[in-house]
Amino acid sequence: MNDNLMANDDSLLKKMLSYHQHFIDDAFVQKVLDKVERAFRLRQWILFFAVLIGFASALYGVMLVAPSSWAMLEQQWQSASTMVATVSFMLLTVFLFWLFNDEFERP
Amino acid sequence: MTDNELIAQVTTQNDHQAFAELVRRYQTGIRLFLRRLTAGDYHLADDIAQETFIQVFQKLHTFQGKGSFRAWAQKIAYHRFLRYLESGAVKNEVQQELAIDMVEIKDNVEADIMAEKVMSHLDVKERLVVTLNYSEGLSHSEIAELTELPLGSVKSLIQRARVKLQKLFVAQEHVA
Repeated sequence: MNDNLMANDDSLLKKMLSYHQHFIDDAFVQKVLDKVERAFRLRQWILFFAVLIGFASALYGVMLVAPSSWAMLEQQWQSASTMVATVSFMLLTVFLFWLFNDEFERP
Repeated sequence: MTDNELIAQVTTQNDHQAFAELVRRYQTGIRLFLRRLTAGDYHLADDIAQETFIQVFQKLHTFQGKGSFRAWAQKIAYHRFLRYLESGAVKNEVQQELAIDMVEIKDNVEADIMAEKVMSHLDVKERLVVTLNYSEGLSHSEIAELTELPLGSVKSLIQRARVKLQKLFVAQEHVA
């Protein structure tokens, strides 16, 4: 083997070191897809909570800056609470629907 | 479907099945490449391979199609491997014994196991260049480009590895 190796070391090495197997199992593919899906969901939740925190912060800021306006808004809310609540709920639903159907990485 | 068509499906329609097909096509190359670099640590190699494909999915929109998809994915795999190496998760230990258990190879699985055993006698850089050269069939300049090593270093690493392997086989001859 030594002489052969000296004479044809490259071809022998190539033969020995070439890839011999071919993987066709779907288990690895499924694991990758599961992880991709998990990363996708995690990203969506992070985005959702970030938006929620941003919204709450903005609301708190408005309350601090204009307490009188807030009191007025509160009165208006009470008078039209059903309609506003329905519209808000619908907007939130549409937003969440859009958020959870968004593509993971749009180029 | 060609690779580029599948990539377009994934990036424009977030088609997970198209991505699954890409993984199916290239899992062999990436997983075996990493198995060689880790000298047969299958769990670690498959962990890195999974992370590689996740990163491929996340970065797919940046693939410009200048080179092959396989080369692009392999570069990502190589960089993930480097991260593991720097963290100490990959053992850069070189088997010092000048002997290898050369059993008669009966099938492809055993042939790959033997190649992985051979890799354990090389250090990580040598494993890398030898695998890229002999297993992947890349030229020295292609290896230098992928690994960002100077061309001279690539050549000397391959030469050094070749001498080590020759010694290994000569020692094996004497044992047998």
